[in-house]
Amino acid sequence: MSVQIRIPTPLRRHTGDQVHVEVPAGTVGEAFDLLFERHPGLKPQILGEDGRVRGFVNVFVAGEDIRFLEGLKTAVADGEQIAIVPAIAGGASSLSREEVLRYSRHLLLPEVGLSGQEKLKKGSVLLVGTGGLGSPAALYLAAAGVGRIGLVDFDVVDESNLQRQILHDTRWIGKPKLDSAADRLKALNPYIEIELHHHRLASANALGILEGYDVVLDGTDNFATRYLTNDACFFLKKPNVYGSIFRFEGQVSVFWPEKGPCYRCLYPEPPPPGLVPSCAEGGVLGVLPGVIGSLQATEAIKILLGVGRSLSGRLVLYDALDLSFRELRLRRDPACPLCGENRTVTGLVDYEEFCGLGRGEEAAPPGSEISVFDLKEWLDRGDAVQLLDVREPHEADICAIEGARLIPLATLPERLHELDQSATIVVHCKSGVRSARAVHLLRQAGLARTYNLEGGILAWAREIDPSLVSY
Amino acid sequence: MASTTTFDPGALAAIAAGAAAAYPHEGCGALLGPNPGGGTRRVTQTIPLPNGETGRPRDRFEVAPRDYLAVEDEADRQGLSLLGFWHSHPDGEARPSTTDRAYAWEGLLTVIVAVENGSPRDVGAWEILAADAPFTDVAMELQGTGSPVSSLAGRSGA
Repeated sequence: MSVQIRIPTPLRRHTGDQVHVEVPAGTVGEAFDLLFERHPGLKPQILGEDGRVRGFVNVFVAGEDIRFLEGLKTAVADGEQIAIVPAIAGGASSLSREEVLRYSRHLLLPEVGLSGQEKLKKGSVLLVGTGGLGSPAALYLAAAGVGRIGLVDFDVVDESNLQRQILHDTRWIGKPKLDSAADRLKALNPYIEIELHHHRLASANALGILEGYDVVLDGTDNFATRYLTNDACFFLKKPNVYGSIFRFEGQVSVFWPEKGPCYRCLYPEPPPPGLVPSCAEGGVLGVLPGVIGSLQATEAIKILLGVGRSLSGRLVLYDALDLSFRELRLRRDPACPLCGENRTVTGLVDYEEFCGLGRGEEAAPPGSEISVFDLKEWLDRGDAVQLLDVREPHEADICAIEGARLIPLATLPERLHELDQSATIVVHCKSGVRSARAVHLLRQAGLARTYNLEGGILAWAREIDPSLVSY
Repeated sequence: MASTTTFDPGALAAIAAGAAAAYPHEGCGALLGPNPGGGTRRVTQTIPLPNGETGRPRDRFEVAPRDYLAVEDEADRQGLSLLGFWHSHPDGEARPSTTDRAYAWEGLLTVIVAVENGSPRDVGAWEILAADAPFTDVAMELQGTGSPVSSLAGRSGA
């Protein structure tokens, strides 16, 4: 029984230029054993260390690839031919010569290399927020060559931001943060795409915005948006790189759907409104988000490269005063309403409502409601009206009525002394629910001339001042 | 010490035409010529081949095994040798990538032509001298005149 092995051009150097080698054998494996005995140089070209045919080599018997027959055990009939065919393939690199020079310090790392850098270029990260956390994260992701960086922010640059939001500078005070970010990031790395989403992330747009990216980086400054980002990432199955800061402490983790816990496993409920001050109220060490945001960028890059050990399932706690890092093990909560066994959260919800910023349906006392038209008339007339806004600071950042004094509802009881007891007070919130409770409170405290603005700032924006941003 | 390979004008024209025709996908083809027998390689003929990569033909190419056997048989029939393969990088650079290197074979020339907006431009040639060696440059020259070839612009004769 004799079979003929056809040797392809690049391997003929190992057979003394013989094109066909005849061997007595009944299977491909037997034939190869004899072939390698005669021409040992062929063996490492055709078989891998595990004794199987290398991926770069195809072996055909009677026109069929032995991968779809019995591999090396495939039987060969007398006089049949075994054809060895080299895999001829390849493809373009997506990096230009200039990019190869730019990223040379990455290319030198075995864990990155050209293929890793190509992964970064093909990858995409969406940053929710371009403030304290988003600034360093965006800078390092751009420097690393992440091919597409999306930014969501609706805010303008304020001088007080520049104590920590290093993406921006004095030239951009008063201008949109997204425009400042695009300018800076493009100057740092012109080979990547920056996509701007001039929106406030909300239930209506979150899925659409996040869907187009591989990784989401949470750089928000309020709980409602954190829960929204977490839930949206879960439904879209995107890893959510989480970071948060407070005064001198920071936290960082990765919430990776199906692999590890989500934000709700860690914090099933938001704190009562007003309990955790924002940076504007509690203060923050400027460099703190620099550390946490950089750690978030590190995790996003590792996810895109597929290297290292991610923070999924771990919460890193950083204390700047101590300069210490601690790590807590996080587990998926089987009772989590989003990712647990009995999932009650099956879609995006109203996150302001969830965070207690709109709870309670207490009816306003009779005669205590006024419409936005009434208020407009009073203000135009020059009446002595004290306008009180009981929303949270981040809501006031979005839109506010000029002249309103902001005292978040939860803090109102101990700040009553700030109000002019003799004036007419008009209280408003987002839609009129919290302000109704505030009016109850104030009237019980003896401030009789207190009125609730029906429909809240949303009604004001709709009827009186459409220039206000609604949310 | 870079080696040299000469190319017949007809072969260069055929590579240019094949690359342009495949755009925006990667094109590929076989390079045939007389057995060099230890001397300078000369590419006298190219055979265009379909790109067997169905998943991402814009930045990957593959020669189907059947097509490989067919061109090797054709080379044998004509008394020529299969010298290597060319492929194109649409809107890319005429430079081998890590993938190109991974699939390189000692003894087979790799020719890559950049195609910009449908027009063939820069072209280059490489070979590996050992299984684990990196690519080394191969100087391309026009058969007959010996003038260096670095671009296929204007050569498709269309």
